[in-house]
Amino acid sequence: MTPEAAHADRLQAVREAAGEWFRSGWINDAALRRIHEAYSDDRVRAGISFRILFFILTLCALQGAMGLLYMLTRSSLGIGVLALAAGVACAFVTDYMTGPLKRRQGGTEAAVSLFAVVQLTVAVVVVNHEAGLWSFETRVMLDLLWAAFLSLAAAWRWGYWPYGALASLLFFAGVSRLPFGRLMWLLIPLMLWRLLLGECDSPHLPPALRRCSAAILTVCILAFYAAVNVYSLDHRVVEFDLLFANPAPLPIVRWLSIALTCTVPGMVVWVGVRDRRRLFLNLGFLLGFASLVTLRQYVHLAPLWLVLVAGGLALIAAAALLKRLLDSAKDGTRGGFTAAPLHEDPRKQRALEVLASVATLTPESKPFSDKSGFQGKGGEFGGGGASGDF
Amino acid sequence: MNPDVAEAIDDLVRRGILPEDKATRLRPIARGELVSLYPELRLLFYIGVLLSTAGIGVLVKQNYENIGPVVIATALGAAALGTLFWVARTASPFSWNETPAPYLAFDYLLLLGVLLAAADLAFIEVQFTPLGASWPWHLLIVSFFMTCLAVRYDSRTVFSLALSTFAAWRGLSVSILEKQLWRATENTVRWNAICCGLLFVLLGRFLTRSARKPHFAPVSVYLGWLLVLGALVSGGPEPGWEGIAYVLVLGLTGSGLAWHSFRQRRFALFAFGILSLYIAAGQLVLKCSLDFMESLFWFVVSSAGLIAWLGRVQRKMREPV
Repeated sequence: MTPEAAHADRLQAVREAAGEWFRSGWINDAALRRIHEAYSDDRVRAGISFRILFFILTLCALQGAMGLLYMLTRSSLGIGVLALAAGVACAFVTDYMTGPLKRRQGGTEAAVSLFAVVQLTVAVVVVNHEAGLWSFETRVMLDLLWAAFLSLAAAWRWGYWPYGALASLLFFAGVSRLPFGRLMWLLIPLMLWRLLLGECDSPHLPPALRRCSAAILTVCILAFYAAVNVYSLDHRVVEFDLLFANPAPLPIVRWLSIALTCTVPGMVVWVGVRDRRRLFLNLGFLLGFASLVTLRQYVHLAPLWLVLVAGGLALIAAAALLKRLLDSAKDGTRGGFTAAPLHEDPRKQRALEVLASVATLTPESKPFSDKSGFQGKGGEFGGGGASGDF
Repeated sequence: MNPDVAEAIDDLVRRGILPEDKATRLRPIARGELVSLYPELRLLFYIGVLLSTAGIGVLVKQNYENIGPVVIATALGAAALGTLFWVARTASPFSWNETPAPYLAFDYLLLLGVLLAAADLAFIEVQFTPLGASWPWHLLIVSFFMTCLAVRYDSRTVFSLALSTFAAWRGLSVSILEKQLWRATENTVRWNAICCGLLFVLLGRFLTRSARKPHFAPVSVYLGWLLVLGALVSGGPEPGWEGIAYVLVLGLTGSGLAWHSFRQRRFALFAFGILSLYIAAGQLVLKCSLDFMESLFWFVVSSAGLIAWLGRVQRKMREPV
């Protein structure tokens, strides 16, 4: 990011924190105004509704324009050249919008940046496949690695964390094409995690780039777990076994995989507790859930309904116990953790719960059957079926 | 952890903007020395409720012939009653205004009780068919029951489920009960969705104006408009004058919604209105049988024009960032 954009990002972080303090009642309206004056905003921004509108409409306009130009060309190489020109132009436009025009969180510049990345990817993919210098597998690998490089460059230059996550996803997808892809999925996270963890907290980086580091670290941890998970090993999920002929893993490798499937989630949670990192706690919980699902694939200790009910009740009990454990400590704090809401905005989480509930718990549309008899399904049991189709 | 905020706290204290006693409480949070697990605890409760109800559904589905319908109905009912009894015992006094939950797990216990009760009613209806051919009406009963609990115990989640269950009742009953009254076409379901959506929007207005659970109004209004606009969009592809009529109604509705929301500074609804108008215009263009390049040209020009116009509107509306 440019120094001016990085500085503006730091000021925005302080204003956002002040907004949370105000919502939580730590500061009053006068203090909030003074903080906004002291850390004033020089960027051109838009609220979330307009941001979404601008993003969608800008993408429509750009894609429509490119579609017209593509139709005027006669060859694949022409499309590649057009895409290259459009990608480079949009990259410069994004730089101009985020630089001299001082746009940030406006929607338009994010759409132009996305278009630039996509067009530059298309350009290289077209040239790569037209040239036909390598096998199909090698070309796909190079396409993925090029797209990863572009996304990483976009993340570094413009500070959008989704590009960081995309870059790492594409990178791991690319190296999975190599004969030792699984080994790369193990080694690269092990080599990078300390560096990325340091970057997540580094005062030398602006908040946007710290978020990019966190996004890349998240994907690295997930890739590492995917590489050690015994189900992924047995089903060659990383190696795409349709394309590679991989021998069955050695028994010792499989036993190691089983051990790591069981222990990696715990290790991630331990790092989260030791360093008080919510990212690791949440990831550890997610990986733990994945390990339990993996266990269920191999060991049928109990019927599915019992596993679900016991699991659900266990989660409820664990949450209640954890809350009691934290509340019973001095000042409601234990080991740097508290159950009290500090600056969290409950409205956001409540809105997500409402959306998730309507999406998953609403009665489903089912055709009426003359047969009586219960036809409930797992999580759709809540309504008995109704048409929601229009 | 946020090093910029940690540094800013010291700066704000130096400038006299932030008192030292407040800064002492805020610094550990900014430095990552104090972390709240409040969102994670809520998530654990929520996922726990979802898993439990999913498991009960699987149990009933896979074992109802072995266990017996009476036992299942009784067990589900007892579990629902027990949960809701506990909720009733520990609930805060009723108020038409927003009431904070008495404890963290309250909302989720209520959700669990509601889901168990709804599952029990659905099971009884399917197994014993007390309503006979009018069986879809059980969804209305469930919706009413959910609404009562949502209002009494101030739960937006249960309120949203009540609304979606009501909409589901309208969707099903059209194809089963109202064949005698209306010609049962896809349009009937579509018009039910529109009427249902308008009802939700009016309900939202009533809640706001009467100051009775006004914080429930956004759920009702947004769901209502999604139903209305979604139904109108789905009618656009219909052939002939019918499709054109839907497109025109969509355009008029979108314009009206955008205009009204612009005046009220309701940004999300304004975005709904503008997107509806854009989709209506696009559907109309596609119906004009233009060739592909002409259609693309339209989308480029219209999008660019709309962006330019929205830039001016945005400056007037001043949506908070």
